[in-house]
Amino acid sequence: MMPPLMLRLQVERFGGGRRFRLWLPLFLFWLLILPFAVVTLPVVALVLAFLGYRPLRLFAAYWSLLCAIPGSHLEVNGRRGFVFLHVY
Amino acid sequence: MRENRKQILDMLASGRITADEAERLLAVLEDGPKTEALPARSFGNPKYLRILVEREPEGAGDEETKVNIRVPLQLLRAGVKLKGLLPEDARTQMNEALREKGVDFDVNQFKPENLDEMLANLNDFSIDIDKKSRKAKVRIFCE
Repeated sequence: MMPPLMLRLQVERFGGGRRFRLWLPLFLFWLLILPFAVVTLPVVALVLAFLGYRPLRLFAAYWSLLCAIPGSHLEVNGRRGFVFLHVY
Repeated sequence: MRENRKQILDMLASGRITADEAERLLAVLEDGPKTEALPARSFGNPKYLRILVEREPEGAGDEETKVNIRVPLQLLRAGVKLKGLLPEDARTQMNEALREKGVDFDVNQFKPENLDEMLANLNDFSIDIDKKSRKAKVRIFCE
């Protein structure tokens, strides 16, 4: 179970229009927010428990949702342009 | 077969589909599924839900439009599990919104097993859309 590590986005407008290509290293984002998450998650868990939610169940559900994102793919090839999105 | 026919007639009676649409659906039901044109696929352990849309060009100078979407089935399963964490009020609001759109569906009754069953039955689903000069083909399947 791995969260998304890389995102590739490509947008092109046909007929000499703009071209936009982006490789987004999401693993850097996870590394950046990890220390912040370690500090804030216990507080968030306490608040959720106080509000009547089951924090562990909630975190597990969101984690499984996040880890299911890799492999998502969107490709639209139209008359005006091209959009490509892939999550690794 | 009889059950499907009754369902189509019920949808026509409740105004969810027009007489033309009902006629087309009944014609498809009588002809039976056209599986010979579709490629054989393996459904041992599908990982993705694939949606393909192909639209023919409208005229000279126009290009074919293609849409290719691949959604991990694990994402759908995780989404269904999240449903259990939604507050009761939110689920009631969702049910009401669906009912307003003519979809008689109870979110509370939907379970992860239902999703697996639905995906297993989805097999290779294909819809042909013919609207005036614009022709499109939508295919939904698991891979």
